[in-house]
Amino acid sequence: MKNHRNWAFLPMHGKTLRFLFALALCTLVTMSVFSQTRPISGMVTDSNGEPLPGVTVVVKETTIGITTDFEGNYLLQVPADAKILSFSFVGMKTQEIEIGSQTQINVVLEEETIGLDEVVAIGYGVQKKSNVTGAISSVKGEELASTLGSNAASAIQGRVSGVQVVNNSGAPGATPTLRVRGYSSNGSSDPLYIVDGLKVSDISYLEPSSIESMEVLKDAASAAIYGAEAGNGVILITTKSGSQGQTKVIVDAQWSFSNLANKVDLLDAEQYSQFYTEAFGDVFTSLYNEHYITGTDTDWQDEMYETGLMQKYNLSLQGGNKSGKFFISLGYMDNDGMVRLDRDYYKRFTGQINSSYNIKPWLEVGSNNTITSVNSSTLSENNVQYGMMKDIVLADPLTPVFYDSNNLPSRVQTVIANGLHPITSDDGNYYGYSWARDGLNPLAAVQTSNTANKTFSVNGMTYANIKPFKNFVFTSRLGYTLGNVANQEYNPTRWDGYFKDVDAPLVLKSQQVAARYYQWENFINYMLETEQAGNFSIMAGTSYINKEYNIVGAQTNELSSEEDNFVYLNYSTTSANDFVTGNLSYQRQIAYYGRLSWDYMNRYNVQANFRADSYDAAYLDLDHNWGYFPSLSAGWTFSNENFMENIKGNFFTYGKLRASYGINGSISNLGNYMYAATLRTGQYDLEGNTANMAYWLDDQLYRGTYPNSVLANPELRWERSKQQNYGLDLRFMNDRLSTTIEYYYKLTDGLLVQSVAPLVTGAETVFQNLGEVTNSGLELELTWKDKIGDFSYEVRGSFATVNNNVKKYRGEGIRIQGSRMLAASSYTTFFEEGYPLWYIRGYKLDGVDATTGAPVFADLTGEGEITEADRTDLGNAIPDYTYGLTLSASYKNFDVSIYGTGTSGNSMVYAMMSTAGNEQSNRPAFLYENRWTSSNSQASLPSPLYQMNDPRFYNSDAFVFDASFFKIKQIQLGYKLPKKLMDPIGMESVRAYVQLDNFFTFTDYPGSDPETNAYNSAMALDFGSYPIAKSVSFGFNITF
Amino acid sequence: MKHIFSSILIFILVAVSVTSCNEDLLDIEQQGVMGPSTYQTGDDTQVKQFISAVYALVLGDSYQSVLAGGQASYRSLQYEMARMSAESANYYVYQEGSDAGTYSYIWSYYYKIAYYCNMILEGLPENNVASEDVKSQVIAEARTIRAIAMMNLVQLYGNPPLADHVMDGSELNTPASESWAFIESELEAAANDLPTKPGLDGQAAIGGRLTKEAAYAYLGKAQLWQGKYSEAANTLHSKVIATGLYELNDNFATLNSSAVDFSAENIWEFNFSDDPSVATAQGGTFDIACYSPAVSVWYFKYASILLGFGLGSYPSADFATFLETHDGKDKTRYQETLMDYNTASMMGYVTLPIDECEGYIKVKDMCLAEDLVGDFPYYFNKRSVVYMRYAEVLLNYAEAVAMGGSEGAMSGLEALNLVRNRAGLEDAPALDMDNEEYGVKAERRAELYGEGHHFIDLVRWGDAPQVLADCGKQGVTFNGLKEDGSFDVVTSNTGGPGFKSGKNELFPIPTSDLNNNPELVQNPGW
Repeated sequence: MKNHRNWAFLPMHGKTLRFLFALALCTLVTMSVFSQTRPISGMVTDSNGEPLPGVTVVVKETTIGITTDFEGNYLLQVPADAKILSFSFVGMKTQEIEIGSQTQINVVLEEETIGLDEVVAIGYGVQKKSNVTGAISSVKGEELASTLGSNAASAIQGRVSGVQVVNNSGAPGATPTLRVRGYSSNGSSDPLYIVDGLKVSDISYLEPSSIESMEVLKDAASAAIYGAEAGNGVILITTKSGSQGQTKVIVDAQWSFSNLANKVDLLDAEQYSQFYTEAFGDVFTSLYNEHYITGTDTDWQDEMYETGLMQKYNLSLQGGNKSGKFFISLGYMDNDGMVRLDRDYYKRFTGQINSSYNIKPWLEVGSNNTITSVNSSTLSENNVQYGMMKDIVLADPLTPVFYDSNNLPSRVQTVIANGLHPITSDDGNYYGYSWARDGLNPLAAVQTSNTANKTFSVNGMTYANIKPFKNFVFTSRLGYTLGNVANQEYNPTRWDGYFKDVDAPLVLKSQQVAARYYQWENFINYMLETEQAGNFSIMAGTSYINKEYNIVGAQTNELSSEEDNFVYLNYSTTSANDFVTGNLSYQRQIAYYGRLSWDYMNRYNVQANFRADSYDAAYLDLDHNWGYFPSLSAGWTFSNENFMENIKGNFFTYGKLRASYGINGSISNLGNYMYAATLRTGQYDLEGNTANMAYWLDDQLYRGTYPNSVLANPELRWERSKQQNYGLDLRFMNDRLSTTIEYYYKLTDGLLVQSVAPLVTGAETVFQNLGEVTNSGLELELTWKDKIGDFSYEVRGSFATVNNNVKKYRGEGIRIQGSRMLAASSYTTFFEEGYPLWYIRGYKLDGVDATTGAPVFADLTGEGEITEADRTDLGNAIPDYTYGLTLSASYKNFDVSIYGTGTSGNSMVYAMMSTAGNEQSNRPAFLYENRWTSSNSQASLPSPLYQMNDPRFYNSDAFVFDASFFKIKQIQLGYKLPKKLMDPIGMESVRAYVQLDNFFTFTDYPGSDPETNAYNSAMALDFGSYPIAKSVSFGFNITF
Repeated sequence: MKHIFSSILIFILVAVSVTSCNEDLLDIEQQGVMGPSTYQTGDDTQVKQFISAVYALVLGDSYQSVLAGGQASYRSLQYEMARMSAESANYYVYQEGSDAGTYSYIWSYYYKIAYYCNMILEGLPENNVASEDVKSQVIAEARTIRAIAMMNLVQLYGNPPLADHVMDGSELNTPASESWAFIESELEAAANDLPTKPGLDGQAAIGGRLTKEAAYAYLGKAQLWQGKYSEAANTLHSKVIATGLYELNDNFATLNSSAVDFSAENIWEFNFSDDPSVATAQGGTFDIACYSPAVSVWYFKYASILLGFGLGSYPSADFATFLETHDGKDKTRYQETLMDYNTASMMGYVTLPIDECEGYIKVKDMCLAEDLVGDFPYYFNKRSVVYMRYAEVLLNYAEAVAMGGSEGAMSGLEALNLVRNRAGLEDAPALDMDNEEYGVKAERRAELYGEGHHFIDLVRWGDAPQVLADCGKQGVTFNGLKEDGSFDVVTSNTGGPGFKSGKNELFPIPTSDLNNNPELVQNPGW
């Protein structure tokens, strides 16, 4: 904590003290008439002998005091009867010295032992950090505050060992994916998010500066109190509250300018034409000769991106007295992304209103509420088939962005003459069309994509704590989420392809989702303190959750006009093909839970948790819907043992051993009656609205009744993780160096495998609890902090290994197909016993036939021909280890922090392409530079002909790259205006800073970002996401 | 005092919280579904709904199969078969592995049909609500359709597991002979319970449902495939031909029209109702869009839908040449099967490059303007989709006789000549399999073009390795007409190895099923 002291507090101390000093002076003047004073002076230093300025020196139980000067000296007139002087400083242990007859008192302040009395949230209660027996990592608000961007989740990256933050997308408002201790499931491995006790599905609605702390419950014992949903770890978030006597107004403002961080190396017009001439011969050249507009060489990445601007403003007010506290924060963020045209933005208003009041000595009530309003627009990305971001990389350089209006190609003139609607820009220029590939000009696609998402939500928790007698608290709390999401999507009538002879009809879709969620929880906390047997605390409670979704949607394909003010469903014509969707659905959950903790002499801690969870019939068959999740953990603070007294000293200061075991569940992949055997009637595809299972029999149309495409499995249950955790906390050198080492072994069984049903059954999918996945790893967190004079610095490192393995599935060689590239006939990722989750399986390219340019694949089976069996493990998306490094330092009014993060040992498939043999998309340069040609017969990659046509090539290691990276995520330099300037204008502090984000990335991956990653089985495939931007930011914080 | 207040408050809250946890709240009913017991409890209407789903599934939905992917339809299968037999200019490149979607989607199409049938066959016998005759007819229909699905599976996959029950995925390979025995006995048994077609024009009375004669026509086909020529000839003659319930339509041109729905040539057809109130609620919308040429056509005769899919719409040049030689360009069958680009361009085709086209456009099966119903995107062709024509029965019979089966009152040659004459050709001088001018093989190729037979015919005759040796080695793109009137077709290598003898005769069992059940034995060469 010491070096992360909140500097904002210091001036206030100063100011308060100055006021107190003035008051004291007056008092002295008046008092001097009656009583005598005497001077006491001295110097305050730290344990290294360095003088400490700004230390508060107060006569105990009076308002008489002063602060030390820059040299650590003080001179104080104390009343003759003064007995004790108190010396206090943030981050230091307060010392009280009996004055006696001394006139000079020199004091050495010791640094406060780190976090000993700090409390951490543990779910339905808090615990002293010193009593923690599980693996809990905590990130405090001040660390979050310096994070750029809109999302709190990204602040954890590199700061908590064992938590991998995957930034799938750089789009405005995009939420990173969090993985706690590897990947436990072949489906979703998302952790559970709890904000002030409220269960939420994601945390992007929160303004990071309103967060007091984030705790990551990594081991099963800590997470077990959340039972069936805790299998992927739990993130507990506590928002800020006011505190007694501290009244503050804080203003933050930040401006960021973003640019594309890394361009993909693609072919230019000449290389592109050369490549496809070699691949397709006359098929390509005859088109080229007819349609190519001489001189066109478009670099789409240059054309599509511009500088994005993000602005962020925040105003916080906090205060409190003996009875009540409040924290109010209002924030606005406007993130206009870096893609040209205004179709990628995220605008968010947030209001955080937290308050609590002690109505009676036995009754405290409070309410924490977040009000969020978001307007956003997104471009499709990260999708195997559709993705506007992918198209930027796929677009051919032979297509111009715009046609020369005086020289439209004859084809375009023809379609205009035929009354079609080529896409034009707002100022009337015709967009270029690709004749080489079946895809739109990416900028034209952005032009015609109009999505508007409007979200309004209230997330809150209102509670009462009833304390009828000492150490007993009964809490009843109601958490709620009321939300409305409105999406509108509009594509105008447009000519959507160079060779099309008709317009694509307009599509106007509108959907409203109203969500009502509440959870009601009642629990008691009781602590029993005994002299002999130590302290016991007990917690027990119930929880009931009800969720309700009401969805209404409609779509039309014809409007009476396409003018802007007609683009509403009201103006759908009578002849239009409209259709509607709507649904009202519920989810419910009941749970009972409890905890028993014991601590003895600050040495021994034991904790047991238990939770029983049940879910409604949509999740599980009601005969199998209860799950029971126990856990046990213990800690031994051996440094407090008597026999350690001689060892404990300046070098070794603290040591604690921890061990835990627990069982958690995960239901995140369950739902929607997956287990049930049902029959359906009528349409089987509502979305497409085309597949009508009906037949005209006996002069009547009968809607067909038929078995569901999901094979029934009433025994289906949650995934279950059993996890062991061993931890060691050590601190050395007067706590300057602190370290935590954890080892865990997590076995997840009953994996919910949604696989292609055995096709002979006639069903399409089946959900089964099959297989086991293990994750194990070593996590290390290391902090060194020190202060040399005015220079203080801190180095913090985190390092974690992940060893992920599918321990059991259904025997060797039996694999589930995962994901594949667009149009590929073969799959790329697989789930198979003995391999990491969704590993990449394919052929090894063993060179090229020098005479034909055909690829030569490694014949691993030695059969003399290449078959399925010659495919092999080509890597996986799960890093062997992840690490983060944070350096921060301050000198006088300057502060600097640098933080970086990296992964190693993860692979990625460059999948931004279609494997269709006729797909003339732009290609990455590596496919061109290394290709076989008649003059380069010693090439490492096949000729364009074989690249395009041999499907095995796409399933080979030619597309698999090492995606290890190290990124310097952030460099921040801050300056605090001198206090002398602040006081006259009534401010406590003003800090200005400049910040660089994502400026330096070290990787061999040829795509735009090695962090990109799709979901679940496609996690090793780069389908093209909104690239992460590099940005320069400026900002300031003002505290009144 | 405070203790009393707070204790009462706690008591109330605990009481309320415990009662709130009523487990009944968890019983949330699933929307829009019925329980599997409906097979036992359904009334006549529901029983007809069960078999309606089967009929709808057999045709399938081309929108699903082409655009959404993953779901095969009757037409998408015909299309794949044309590609595999080099009859489509989108030649199948013989390079896919056993995990390719092509093989698994055909496999699941047939097993899914069998699944729907098996659910009926296992549930319906215990139904005491529906009337006996409704039940009995539906059961016989399900048995017939299941047998037909199984027949296709055996023809394509060799020894696939026999779907004679609701499968759980643990089933092993069933020897083909065992499956054939099952197919034959099922068709025979079902034929007993199916209604007889009540007269030459009697199909309308039965509608798009199966008849006794249809079951026998498929039985004869099953026997022919197995090389049981005498049984095949006997079944086809005595149970179908000799009933006098079928004859060929006079004019080949009318086959493409809804005018011949329920005509005397149709053995089994999918019937679209013309009733406008239910028009778009039937299966098979989009079929015409997916299987029309990918060029602009608004010709007075054909209602081609301009969506640019063009699947299966371009015959290979090899087939076009064959048909020109065999039939002649002036013959109705040629003109109603395909047209070359010169002819088509006069009707307003636009000069644009067309992939997988060699200058010919398929017009057989193209939707006639007068048969088009609906609006975008729910167009459909109100003409019946005919799964089996009497012409095929006659050719199956002719082949059975030519291969040694004994003739009935109608000779094999007569049967062949009925088909030839209707196509505008002279009588064949003799019954022969291989003769290029009048042999049964050539006649089947010409008459049944695009109906999904040619690939398995080539395999059955042992001709596939030779005929398909180069299939898919070259890709073609049509670039329009040259000034001299010839076609500008450019080709490119695909790197494909062509049909491999000893391997490609059978499809591979899909990898996903082998993964699921390693005891399944893969076909040779895969």
